[in-house]
Amino acid sequence: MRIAKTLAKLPRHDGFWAILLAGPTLLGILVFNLLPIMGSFWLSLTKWNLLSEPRFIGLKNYQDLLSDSLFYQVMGQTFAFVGMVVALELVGGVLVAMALNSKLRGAKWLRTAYFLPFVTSMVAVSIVWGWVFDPANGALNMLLKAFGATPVAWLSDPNIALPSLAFLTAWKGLGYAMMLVFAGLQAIPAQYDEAASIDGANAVQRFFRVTLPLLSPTIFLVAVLSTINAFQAFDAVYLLTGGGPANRTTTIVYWLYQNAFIHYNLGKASAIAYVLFAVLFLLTLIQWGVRKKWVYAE
Amino acid sequence: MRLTRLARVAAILVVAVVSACATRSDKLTFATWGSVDEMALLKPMLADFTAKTGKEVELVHIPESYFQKLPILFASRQAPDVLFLNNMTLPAYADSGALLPLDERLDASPALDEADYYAQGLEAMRWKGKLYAMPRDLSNLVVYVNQDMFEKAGLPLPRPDWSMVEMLEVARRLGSNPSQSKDPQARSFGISFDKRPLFWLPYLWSEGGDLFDPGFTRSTLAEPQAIDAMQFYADLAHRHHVAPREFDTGNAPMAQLFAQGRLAMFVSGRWSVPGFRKSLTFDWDVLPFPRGSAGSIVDVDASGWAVSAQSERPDDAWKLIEHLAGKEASTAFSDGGLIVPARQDVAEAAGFLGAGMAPRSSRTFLDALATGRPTRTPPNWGEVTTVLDLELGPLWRGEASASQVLPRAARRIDELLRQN
Repeated sequence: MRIAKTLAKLPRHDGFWAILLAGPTLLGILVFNLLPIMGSFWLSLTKWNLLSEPRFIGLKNYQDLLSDSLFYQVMGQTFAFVGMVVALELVGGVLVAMALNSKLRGAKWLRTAYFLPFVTSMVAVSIVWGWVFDPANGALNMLLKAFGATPVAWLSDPNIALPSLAFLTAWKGLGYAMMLVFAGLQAIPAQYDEAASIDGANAVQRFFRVTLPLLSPTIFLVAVLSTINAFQAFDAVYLLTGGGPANRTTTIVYWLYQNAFIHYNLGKASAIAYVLFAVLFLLTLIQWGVRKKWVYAE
Repeated sequence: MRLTRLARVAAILVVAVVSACATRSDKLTFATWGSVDEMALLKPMLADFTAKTGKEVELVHIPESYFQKLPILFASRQAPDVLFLNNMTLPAYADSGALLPLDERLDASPALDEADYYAQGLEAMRWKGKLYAMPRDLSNLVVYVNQDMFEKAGLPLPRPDWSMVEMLEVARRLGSNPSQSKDPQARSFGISFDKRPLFWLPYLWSEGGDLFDPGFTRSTLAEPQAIDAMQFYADLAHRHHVAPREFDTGNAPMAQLFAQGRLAMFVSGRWSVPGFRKSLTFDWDVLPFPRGSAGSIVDVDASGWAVSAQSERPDDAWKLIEHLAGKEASTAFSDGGLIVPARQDVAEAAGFLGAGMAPRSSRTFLDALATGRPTRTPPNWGEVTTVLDLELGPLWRGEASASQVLPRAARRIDELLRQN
């Protein structure tokens, strides 16, 4: 009775309830997201080593970044890395999903097997691949040697280290891309395929003219997700190469970390974060703009 | 009515958040890194301190990424009263005014006497002439030798005053010939190779080279002695093939190669001793680092305790340091053989030298202190190491010569020194 009375006394106004119920989350976003985001903009205008007081230096961090050749190298490498990862995940994801969609025996087991790396922690994956890539005792070079080929310095050859990292990142993400594409494939009604086949289309034509267009919303989703994911790549770089050899695997997020917590240069690191934000924002705008041109039914 | 209820809810939230953030105890806080074994030694010492003084100590144990977390504590005004650090990182803190100078406290201390400590250890803890930490231990490098491999090769153990030239000669005869065994798995090597500065600085210094001029105004890496010394070190792996290249051993640490009996001479520090006592199945001993044209000079690096400038109880903080840096605690720290104590009286005592235990020539660790020197670092040492790592990479991979890479490395370090 008393509870009902108390409840009755509470205001009926929707706004009150909205604020009350959303309050804790809003407070969390304010304290842990918005304030730090604004704070780091202020920090990007200062020189600060965490130990003494921040000193205001205006836009100097941004000017320094734009005149630093390493900045362009890191940006280029990040885009190359993202490009490789997204391409591998998309093509691999579609191929594996198509194969598993075709009433293959043991497909359920294979689906689980392909999905396992995705639910494994990146740290564990990196450590295992560190062994696989080991130049002297690693599985990959053992295999090469068995065929009489020259061993490869997977993680210490400046030209190969970044593709190696992209490969392992894509290997880990492949299961997720495959799962989404698989779901997309299941949603395509079989009639379309049958109709095309009666009209005389061969398998390749059916794939490019029927399946792929109907799959485009899924592919778009996978592309966006794996782009975001690849831009955030840090763990594998941190654990396997430390950005080396010769800075050739330094991605933008690793560079940010290096400036903040190894060089104690928080101002520069914050400026990098804002430049990264601008780049990602632009990229997203482009992705949405281009989407209309190729994504079916939108 | 409505407003007050809303205000009450808001007030409860605010209080909850603020009280969660602001609980700061009255205990003395003490931050350190260290293994489980070290913590087992440390905790009774802290309990002993509390029993003697009535002051409670809150131990902030940061076993991983210590130097990434410590500055964040400073930035958030949560700096520990007492903090453990080493001489390479000290300048960054001292130069920013984050530490209290300790000279006057040490002079006035009834418990500690400067004369009991190795001068190199105290020197390592100074920045611009002022003492900022009391050293706990000194680490230097010696050459661990596999005596069985010497015997098999029919070679006598070199004398302690051996030279770099002798070292190369011995290494040639101890390792297997690369032209005979193609499989790196089966190859053995004369001497270890590690591209971290700690391990190439002895080669640089012993030939009369250095990283910086005395006032940190420029890098001296491009001077002829430095170029020769660094080239000699790279040649061990890439020209003479007496040291393993990355291709030969992959990620296997040098200590593992040494333990497997595939590495005859291993340049390492005191920290290898406890493990080697347990695991090595062959006879082993230690030799001083070989002499170059300037002598046998290895890094003498120190770790020790400092007082934060943010501390509200600097007197108690200093008392804790007096307790930890005293003879009793120092003996307890070094008895297990893990560290070389910064106290001369403790180092000379039987416990540390470990009579009857390997290595026979334990004194080598102490003798190397006299000729060694601390690694002098500028406040932005972190950035300097990144540049060194990047610019010296081609030299360590055998893709470029020292005269090609060092001038550029020196120029880039000069730029960094100007920013200090």
